[in-house]
Amino acid sequence: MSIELRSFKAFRGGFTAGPVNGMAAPSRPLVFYGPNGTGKTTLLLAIAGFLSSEGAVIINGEDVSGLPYGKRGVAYVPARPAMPGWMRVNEISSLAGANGAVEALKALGLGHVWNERAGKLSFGQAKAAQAALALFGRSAAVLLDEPFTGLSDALASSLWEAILASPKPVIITLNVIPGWIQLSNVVSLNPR
Amino acid sequence: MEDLSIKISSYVLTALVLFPMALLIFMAGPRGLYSAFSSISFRTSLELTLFASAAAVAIDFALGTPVAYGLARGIIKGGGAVYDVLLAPVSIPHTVVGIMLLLAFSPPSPIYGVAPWLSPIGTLWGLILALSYVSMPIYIMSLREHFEMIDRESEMYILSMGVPHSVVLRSVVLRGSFGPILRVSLLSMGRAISEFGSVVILTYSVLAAPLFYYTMPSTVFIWYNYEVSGLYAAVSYAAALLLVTLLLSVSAYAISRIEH
Repeated sequence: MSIELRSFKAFRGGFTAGPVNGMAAPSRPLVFYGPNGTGKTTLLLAIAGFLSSEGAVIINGEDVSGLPYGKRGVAYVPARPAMPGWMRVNEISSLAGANGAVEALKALGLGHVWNERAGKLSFGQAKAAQAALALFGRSAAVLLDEPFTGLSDALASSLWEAILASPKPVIITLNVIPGWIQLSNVVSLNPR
Repeated sequence: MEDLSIKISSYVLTALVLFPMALLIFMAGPRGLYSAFSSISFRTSLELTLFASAAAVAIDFALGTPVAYGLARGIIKGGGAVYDVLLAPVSIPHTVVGIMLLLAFSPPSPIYGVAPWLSPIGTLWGLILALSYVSMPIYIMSLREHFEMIDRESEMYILSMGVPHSVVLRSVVLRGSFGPILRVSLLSMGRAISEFGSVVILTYSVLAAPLFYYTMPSTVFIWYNYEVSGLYAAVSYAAALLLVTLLLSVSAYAISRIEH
């Protein structure tokens, strides 16, 4: 299981992010690191297929860059809580085909939110829960945009453990690298 | 000074819209309104209009909602052209719409060849067809604007996990758009109720036993009274219909306030 980017560029309006090269594998997440405005989110949106791009997105040996979003097998988790507030977490899990999500939520200390409406969760709970659903959903790879921003240190640390334990390759973006994370697979993005 | 000119324009326009309404209701007076709502023929006419308008809006909802969503999200190929076509009835004179729909089900049309029994003239379904034809553009245009304004991140999150657009529309978007859909439906229903041009050509009166026996839609009923008995005979019926449409507008406004 892997997701690999080859000479990958993303386009939004007149802005171009990349090119980037890199590969994520289970327990070895790829990190896009850089300040605001360097195109981290733009890259994730293009990898998921929501923006136009150039270069290859290879998942388990297959180039999916020609496929539309939803068909690429790449789950995109925004930096803000994005679960519809009127839906219960278990309903969203069911839509996403996230079979083991309840266990993942328990591991994050969020087992009690399973039957809650997403709108009732705190900012940090909602972000961690939406990441957990994506990690256990039907997609082959997961893109997490600023997953630790707004989370308590304990929840962020648990989420990091979940990312490392996930059988899926994960790409994350970080504005600031928390002191408790040891990273080896980092693509640094610089402002233009 | 510039602010003042904007305020004056707003007040003048508002007065221009409100004055004829207020005068109509004043001229009818409580007694006129009471007599209009007490008239069995007007009440039956109003029931027909409300029933057909509600049915037309139900069609707008069933067919127009996915189209509005598809147009807002760029899912439909050639969406710009589709949108222009769907909006065309807004700018076509409605008597022309009536003639067009009449022709579509007449001997020169292939529809007549396949289903000659499907005549809209004087039928309930003909009335619903006309009302849906003229209200659909309003429904699609308003709902498309709503879909364009809502935050897409929720949809992107769920779509990226392989959930099809149709499921996202049903399970996510529609559930979160109940208020706006109700508001747009009420506005479209108001538009349907006020239709006259196409209705008078297709369904001057409707025979739909056992509910309606040669019943005129409300706008035709008012026009008939005006033609036959003069202005004052039509005033109380017009005021009564105005109150009904205002009730829909106020409900739509209240819903939009609650949304905010």
